[in-house]
Amino acid sequence: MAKQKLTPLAVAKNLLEIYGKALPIDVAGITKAQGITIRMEELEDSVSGLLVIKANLITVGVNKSHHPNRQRFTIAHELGHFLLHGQETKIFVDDGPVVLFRNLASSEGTQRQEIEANIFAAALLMPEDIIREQLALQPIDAFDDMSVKHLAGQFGVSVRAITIRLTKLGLLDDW
Amino acid sequence: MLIKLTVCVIDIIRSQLDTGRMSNRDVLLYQKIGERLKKSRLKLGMTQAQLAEKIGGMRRTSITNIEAGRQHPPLNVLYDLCQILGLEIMDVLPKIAELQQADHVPVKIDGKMKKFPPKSAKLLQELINGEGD
Repeated sequence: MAKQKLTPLAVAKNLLEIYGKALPIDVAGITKAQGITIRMEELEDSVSGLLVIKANLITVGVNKSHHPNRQRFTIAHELGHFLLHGQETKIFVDDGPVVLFRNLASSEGTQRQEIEANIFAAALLMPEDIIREQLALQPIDAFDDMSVKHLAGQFGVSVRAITIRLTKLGLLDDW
Repeated sequence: MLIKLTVCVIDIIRSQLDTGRMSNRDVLLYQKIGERLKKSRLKLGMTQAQLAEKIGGMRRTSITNIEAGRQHPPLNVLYDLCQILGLEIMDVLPKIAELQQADHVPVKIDGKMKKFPPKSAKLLQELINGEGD
């Protein structure tokens, strides 16, 4: 068996160590630093973004009509695809480009790759240690919409995303 | 941790689906069902209010929304509606082929043709075939 591939969590952690953890995480900057071009494009509402790897030309297209928080998640998701799957998928490719398509409703594409890209995105945008630090500074009252909203704003993610993250990390009670 | 995160991410995906971000296919599905229900109701000369009353406990606006494809009736309600309108359930369910997007554009990826919605297809084409090596 080939050497163990890095997990989505490990890859996200490595990036955060290199680029720092100042909030909100500069996901666009990190992505560009990987040599990826980000293009804000008019896309169908069902499409959040896409990634095209063509030799040295790597492009992430982002739906410009979506909420900035969602765009950040999309960029992180596509970056995850590039870092986690860009290599393995190339094996199946001759000359043509590799295309990964982010479409929530799509049953096409491999489920595993989608899940891994999302794990990566969540870990990059909402690092667990930073969440714990923030909570130590400003304990959250789960019944106070404003405090959750404030925290979401600090991370540049949706209230729903941060709520789920907090709950799954065991930092909010799951009723 | 990995398992926790996976669950978390799946929840995010679910929640995004739940908040009404539907695929074009699903939008079209409920629109078609709604159109068929409306057509049958009008054929019977029934008002939305009358239909709502017959089904029991339903508001007229729910019928309005179902017919417009904005409200998504559960299967049992769909059966009720069909029964009242004298339809078979199959009469209101569109064929899968009908839901395949007529406007989707094929793009050649890794030697295979795949269909994408037009704007995305255009960008893909450009990125795949455009200049640069």
